[in-house]
Amino acid sequence: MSKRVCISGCGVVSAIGVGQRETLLSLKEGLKGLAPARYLPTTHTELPLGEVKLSNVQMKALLGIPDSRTESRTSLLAMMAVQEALQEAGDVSAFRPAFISGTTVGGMDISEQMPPEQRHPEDWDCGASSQAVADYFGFFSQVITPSTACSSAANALLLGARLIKAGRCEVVVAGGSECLSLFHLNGFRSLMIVDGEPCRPFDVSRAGLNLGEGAAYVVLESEEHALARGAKPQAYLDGWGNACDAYHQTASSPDGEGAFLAMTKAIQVAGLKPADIGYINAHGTGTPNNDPSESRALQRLFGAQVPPVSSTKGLTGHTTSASGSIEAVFCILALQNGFLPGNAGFSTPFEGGIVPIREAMPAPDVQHVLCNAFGFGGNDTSLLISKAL
Amino acid sequence: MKEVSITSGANLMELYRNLAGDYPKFFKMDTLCKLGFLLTEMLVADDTDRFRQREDRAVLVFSREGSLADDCHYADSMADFPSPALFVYTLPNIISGEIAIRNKYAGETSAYVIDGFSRELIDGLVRQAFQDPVTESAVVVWADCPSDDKWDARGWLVKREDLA
Repeated sequence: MSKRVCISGCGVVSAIGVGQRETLLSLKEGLKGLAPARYLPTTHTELPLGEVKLSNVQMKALLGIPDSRTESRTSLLAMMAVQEALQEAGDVSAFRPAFISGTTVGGMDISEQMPPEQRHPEDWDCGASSQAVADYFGFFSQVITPSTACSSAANALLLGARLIKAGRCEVVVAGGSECLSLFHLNGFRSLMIVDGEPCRPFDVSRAGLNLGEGAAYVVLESEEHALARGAKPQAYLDGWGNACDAYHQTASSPDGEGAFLAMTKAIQVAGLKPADIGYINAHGTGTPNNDPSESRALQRLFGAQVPPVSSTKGLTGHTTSASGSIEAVFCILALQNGFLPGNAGFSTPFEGGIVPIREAMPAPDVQHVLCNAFGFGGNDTSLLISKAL
Repeated sequence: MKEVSITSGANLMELYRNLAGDYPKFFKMDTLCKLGFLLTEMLVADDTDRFRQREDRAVLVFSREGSLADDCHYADSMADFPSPALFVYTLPNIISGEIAIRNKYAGETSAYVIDGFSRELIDGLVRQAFQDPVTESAVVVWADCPSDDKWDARGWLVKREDLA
């Protein structure tokens, strides 16, 4: 149980960039990716969305997939991000990695484009969208799809780290992918938590979230395994915690119990103390309910000394099931490049709320960060990521 | 180890009346959640101090089709007005959330989609949840519910000592 879990490769696709390089630039410069729908065939053209700026046709061309083949956008986004992660990690195919891929929308985009009588949603379910990615690469030993709403990808990393720690897998590729669909855009709208303006996490005027899409994956292995094959650890996944808020299906408790317990566990698993944490990438959706609850959880855990916090959802929108791994990769880029991303959309705190970092700032000394992802059903996950020297 | 199941097509209302009867939220749940709720009632009915918040119990849910039956109901509602009540249940992990809320479990919860029932795979994944510093037991549910009258629903309660 003494193995340290390292991240030897990452790949990321979101509204603020395709790949690490574009993403890093956007994070440092605070470039927003929110815009009216260009690819999603919605009538709600007034809503800002965090779409990945590539059509399915373009992604298929980049991936060498014939245009005639039907693939869910969730799978295409995932393939793009997995490919980048594998390129950075080097050839791991001989280790027959497990593929752990969080999603909740899965191939719903395909189902909803079909006329009702030709719909076969069972062929485009969450498991099928992960399997399509595994088949594209062809060397994964098993496929597991955590489906826990907006914490799905974070839970994929949590499970992957445990499988490495327990010695059940030598290498795991873990992350998550979610494309925009009418299905969940309408669903979130029906819950009245979508803002018609760009979202403003932790701001007094916040009025809801903007939906986004994307994918991110990391290659996980033990540090000794990476070094033995000549790969460079890019960061370490030192802690993880999941807890249930057990309060309400779609609302967080006022005292942030689940978030508090998840962050506490992640720090405990890493063998660290709250004072070791130099930054928190908040779940920070910008909904009236999430941000006070998460603020309370942070204040309970860190007392008067809450470390710098930001939500990057003002840049990307809420990428739902993929947000946990996308924001984990943001944290890795921040640690590698010695900065903290800003909290776009924030100007004035609400009573009792935390005050996030407004704009990206240098932070060369930060060693350990937390990355939060909370899902409906009270499914709260926190990951603790550490800098690789 | 305590293991339970619910026969496909069984009368869930009757089971609810026999097992619980005091939790009206049950009527709002989709079939998948009803199955998870009832399996858990069978597994934990004898717990002492049953409704006191505890962090040492995980709820781990596995299926092949996720929430597909409710997905279709919700998609149908979109033709008219998307129903928030149905949308909530399109999330496969709402089942673990419902179980946690009912029983005040603040431990780990998760929902996994796998390629069909495999006790070996599930046992392997459940074992990993016990790496958590606080987990002492786990409610494990396999509930696959492709339609409202056809399902495969089984559950078991794993304690740390069962893993040895």
